[in-house]
Amino acid sequence: MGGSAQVRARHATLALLLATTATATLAQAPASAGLAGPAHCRFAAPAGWDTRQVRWTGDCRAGLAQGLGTLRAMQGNKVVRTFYGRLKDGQPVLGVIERDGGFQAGRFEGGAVVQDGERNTLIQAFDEARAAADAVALRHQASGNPASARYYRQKAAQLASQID
Amino acid sequence: MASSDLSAPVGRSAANRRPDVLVVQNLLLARGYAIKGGADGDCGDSTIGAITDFQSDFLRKPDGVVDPGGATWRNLSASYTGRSTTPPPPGDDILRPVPRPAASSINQGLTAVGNDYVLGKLGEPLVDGGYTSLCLPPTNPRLRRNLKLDSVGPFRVTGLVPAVQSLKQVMADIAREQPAVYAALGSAGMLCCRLQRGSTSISNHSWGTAIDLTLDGVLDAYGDNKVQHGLTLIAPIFLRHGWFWGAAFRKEDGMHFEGSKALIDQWAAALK
Repeated sequence: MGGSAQVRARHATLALLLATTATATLAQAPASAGLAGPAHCRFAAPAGWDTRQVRWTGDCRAGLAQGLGTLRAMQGNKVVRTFYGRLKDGQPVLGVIERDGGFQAGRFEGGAVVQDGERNTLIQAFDEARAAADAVALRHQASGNPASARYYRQKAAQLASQID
Repeated sequence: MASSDLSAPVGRSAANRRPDVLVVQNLLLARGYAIKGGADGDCGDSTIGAITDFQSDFLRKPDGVVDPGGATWRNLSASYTGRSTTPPPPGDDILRPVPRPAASSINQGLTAVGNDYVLGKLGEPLVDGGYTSLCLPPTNPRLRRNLKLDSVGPFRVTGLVPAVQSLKQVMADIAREQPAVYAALGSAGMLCCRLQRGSTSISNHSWGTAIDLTLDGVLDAYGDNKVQHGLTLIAPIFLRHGWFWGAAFRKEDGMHFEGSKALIDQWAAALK
């Protein structure tokens, strides 16, 4: 095998290795089955949401939504429900859903709010929701969208005052 | 409050013990009878006039007196639905936001209490201070002696004993008069000794005399001048038991109900 042939072979091996790695990433798909969102940032929507029209605004890690942010359920251009809070490995863990009629707040398991009856859980959920709204406001500010940044700052203030 | 009996007659030339007078006044006010100055515990001409007016609906010769266990008391303390709307039809959305009622149209005859007043009546919940942003258990021995964890029907609460007992009566009436709302009711907490967010004042939940409610696990949004429809159906029941509705606060708090001044006075007097 000539020098150039060896280089091509190494490249082929590398390509095969990369392809195998890519396949391994895709092979993780079963663990994320039922997740929504784009391939680079999958997430689980709260229970009962139409996952075809849900958008995550926040960070992503290893292909999964991660950290503070919002999940917005859309109907056309209208937002019908919003989750403010924290996702871990693509799963909602703590926060608040804003919906017609008010807020559902608490820890989340399997996409559903756990009603533990603890007022401190509600306080922590609204704290996390406020922090999420602030984080999204900063994103909008940084991307040159002051109107949206203002909206989320106001939302943060509302979430902060919900539990007296 | 409504289902307990009086300790002595109230009205014209009667014993007129202050707690009894307050009960009668609040029940009359809840039914729309005017009492000059509201519920103040004094049985003056205005209160006697209201009793007489009330009796004229069912007595041939009104005498202006409410006797313990008598006909007037039975009518006055019976479950009252006059200011409640009828139960919602099947399928009605009790969560739908509706404009909050005008403040002047609710809590009639009831007075909200500030922290200073409750502190004077029930004491400092955390005797050495140390309030944080999270709920802490009270350290005041008198308060601790008078707390109770109990079911009030649809959920369990920890609160001041007479407040929990009053809530049981409220919930029993809601179960009877607004069963669809009762089935959806939950609690977002009653006793919680903490600082109000962004303030050095303590929360009005610090004595176990206030409660926040949920419907189907949903908390009414604070300060948007709208309230869940279901709350408007049960608010009259709370009001006639002497609970003040937070929908009338300067900043709307539709999910919040707390003991009115008359109830705080009664509850404070009943503590061990």
